[in-house]
Amino acid sequence: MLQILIQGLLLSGLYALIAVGFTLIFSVGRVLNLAYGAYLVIGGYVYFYFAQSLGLPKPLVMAMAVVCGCLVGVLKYRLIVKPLKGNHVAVEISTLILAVVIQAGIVLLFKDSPKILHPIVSGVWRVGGATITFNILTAAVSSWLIFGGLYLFVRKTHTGRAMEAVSMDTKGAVISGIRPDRINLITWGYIWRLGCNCRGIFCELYPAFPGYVGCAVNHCGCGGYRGWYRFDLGYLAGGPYYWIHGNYFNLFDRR
Amino acid sequence: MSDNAHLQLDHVVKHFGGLTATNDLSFDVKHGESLGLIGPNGAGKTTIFNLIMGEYRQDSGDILYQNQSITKLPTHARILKGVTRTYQVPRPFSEMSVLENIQIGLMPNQLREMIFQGPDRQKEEEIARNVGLSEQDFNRPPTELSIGDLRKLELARALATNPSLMLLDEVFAGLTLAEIAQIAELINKKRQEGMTFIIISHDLRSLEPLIDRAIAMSFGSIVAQGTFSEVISDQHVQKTYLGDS
Amino acid sequence: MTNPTKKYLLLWAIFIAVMLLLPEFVSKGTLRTIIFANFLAIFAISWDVLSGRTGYISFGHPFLIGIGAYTSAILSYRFDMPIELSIPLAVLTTTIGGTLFFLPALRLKGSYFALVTLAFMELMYQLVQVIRPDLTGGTRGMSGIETITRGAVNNYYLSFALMVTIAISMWLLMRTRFGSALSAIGMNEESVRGSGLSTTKLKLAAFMTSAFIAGLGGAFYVHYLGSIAPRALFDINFLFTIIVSALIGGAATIIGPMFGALFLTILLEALRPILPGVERYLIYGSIALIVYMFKPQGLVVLVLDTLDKLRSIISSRS
Repeated sequence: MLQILIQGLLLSGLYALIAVGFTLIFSVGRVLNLAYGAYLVIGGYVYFYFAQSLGLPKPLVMAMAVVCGCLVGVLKYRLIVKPLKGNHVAVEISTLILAVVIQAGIVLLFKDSPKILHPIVSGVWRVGGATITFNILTAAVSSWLIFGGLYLFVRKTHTGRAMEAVSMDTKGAVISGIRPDRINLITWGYIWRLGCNCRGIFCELYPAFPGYVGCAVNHCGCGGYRGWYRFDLGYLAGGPYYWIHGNYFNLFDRR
Repeated sequence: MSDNAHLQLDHVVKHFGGLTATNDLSFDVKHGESLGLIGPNGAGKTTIFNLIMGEYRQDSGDILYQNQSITKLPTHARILKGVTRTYQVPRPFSEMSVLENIQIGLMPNQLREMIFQGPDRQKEEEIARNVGLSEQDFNRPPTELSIGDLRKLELARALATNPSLMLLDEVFAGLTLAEIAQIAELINKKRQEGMTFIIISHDLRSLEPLIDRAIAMSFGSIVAQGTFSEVISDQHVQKTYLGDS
Repeated sequence: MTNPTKKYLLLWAIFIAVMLLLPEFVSKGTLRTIIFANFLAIFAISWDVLSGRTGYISFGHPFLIGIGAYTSAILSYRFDMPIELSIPLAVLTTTIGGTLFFLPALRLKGSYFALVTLAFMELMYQLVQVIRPDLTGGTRGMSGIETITRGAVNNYYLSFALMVTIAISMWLLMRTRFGSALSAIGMNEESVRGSGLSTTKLKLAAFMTSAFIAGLGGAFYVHYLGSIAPRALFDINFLFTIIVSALIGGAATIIGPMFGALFLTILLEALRPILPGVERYLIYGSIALIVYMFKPQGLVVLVLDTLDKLRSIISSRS
């Protein structure tokens, strides 16, 4: 029981981070990004390929995951989201199609079989009857650090404030001289960074395999729905949910 | 308040966050009367329409239609009772023709009738002609119409619901003088038939001949009411609306 | 009867005649492919009646199809109920059960509706495996479920008859004022309300129609396959195929989803020799994305436009 509690508590941070990424797009652009789960998986596979197959240094690969994520996020915004601007239904459906395309692309490159990812940080810590791997601990700590950074970013920087303004009222933001499409672009790029980061941290916890895309889509769906209103509220609402969900996941999920 | 009030607002309060859109507002409009609502932008005129139609719910107070409270009714039920409105920015069904747009307004709220009875083409055309839409526009999509014709279409769709009280929001904005005259003529015709109107307009010159009584608003409250000339010469109105000069 | 109606009826007649003669000309394998296309068309029509018309995107159609399929499968496989009884019961369960589930969701707007339906699909996926696995067969599902008829040709005629019946009844229903009202919701829901119509009632009716078709399709599908497994049913690729069929063919029409289903199924089969596995969805998805981005009205309109252009070129030359 103690094991489950601690594990759940630590994992909740990670899940919440995933949820925030999803919510960020939803609150700013008012569209569901159903390809979000696929973003996570790409982060995982970048890590798998460069760090494990090619043996590049881990910090470098994490940075690569982030950069390539931003790049594709921006590409996606330019090529799909922007041309369909104003049509939420079309954007949502095209992100669904994109999720399927990315998933198939990954299968094409890496085959269907699950990949075992080694812990980024090895070692365990025993408390009472519970075992905590340093990996999960690192994941939890860095999740909360990213959260902190995100919060400061949204609250303190001009870009962050602008993002918040767009999320509350697009028309109002336009009047104040903010260009919503630019903010959307930043957010989409940013989201990639978040998504890939998550997955980078995530990678030991779940073996990366393509079927996870669908599952992640659904998870983000739940998290997004619960924490929909504004992104700074998003993770506050998402946190407890994922805390519970984290437990549930450990108890039942044997996929 | 009098018994023959067609619509009555009774101490209606509506806040948006910290902003008070209507502040303890009470007024009524009698059967067959035409009431003008004037006031600067943000005075709460359109909010009143939204409240009457049930698109927003007031925080407190009551709205009575023919001496019955309609506060709890959803929008479509209020329309079935005989209230209807037009919007400042016309909102047609963009991928339907003019007549199909009117068809939606004419449609009964019963599924069985929707499915088993065809549309009444003659009635659609009659309404379209009534508001001054020309035959060649009947099968065009609204995207090909001028702003004036869009307003006529908006009026037609509203009239198709067979109302006894119409709320008109800035019907003259962006129209040519000829179009204004056409719509004014239509309103006057409907007034003679006994329809009740509440009209919001910034175009005071066009509004004057169409109303029996005016109410001037500012910051969600009534600042003056009476005949058009009384209201327009009121000191508060001069100050808040027409400027100090 | 007006002229366009006659023209459409003629097109329907030609289409039905061609499809009826098809088993004479193609192999059994191709027939099985087209059987799948027929079922996919049913699911796509079901999705389109709700989402294509009203603009309320359902990501939960596998959930509805799943209720229909599982109910009929459990009733006939576990309780030895005859199919003639289990299928109507399954359809009833889908319509009523689905409606009860979705009733709160129907009051939500746009994206929130989509999210909730997506959650339902995941919920169903999890529940089927955990709750009463002795009935549902858990993760492995059920196999050896009674089939209605045997052989590719018989199944082809059955699925085709079902699909055409559904398509024509939906075509007739959507031509009424009810259909116009649903399309109007997709264009501007507030104005529909502003025309004195209860949009909740309309959406509910659209949803129930959609659930009815999904349940019917799901029940027949499970008795065609003879097996059912949660992984295949509640899968993002399956959801994707349903939605894309409707959109790629042309949303808010009846011919669109049918054409889209046929196109996608044949494309998927044509890709099989090159890419055997899930990788096919890379090409499949890319084509869907491109068509959707550049011709949102769908392939049917694209084909008609091209024909018109050709005709005008030919007539200008002669």
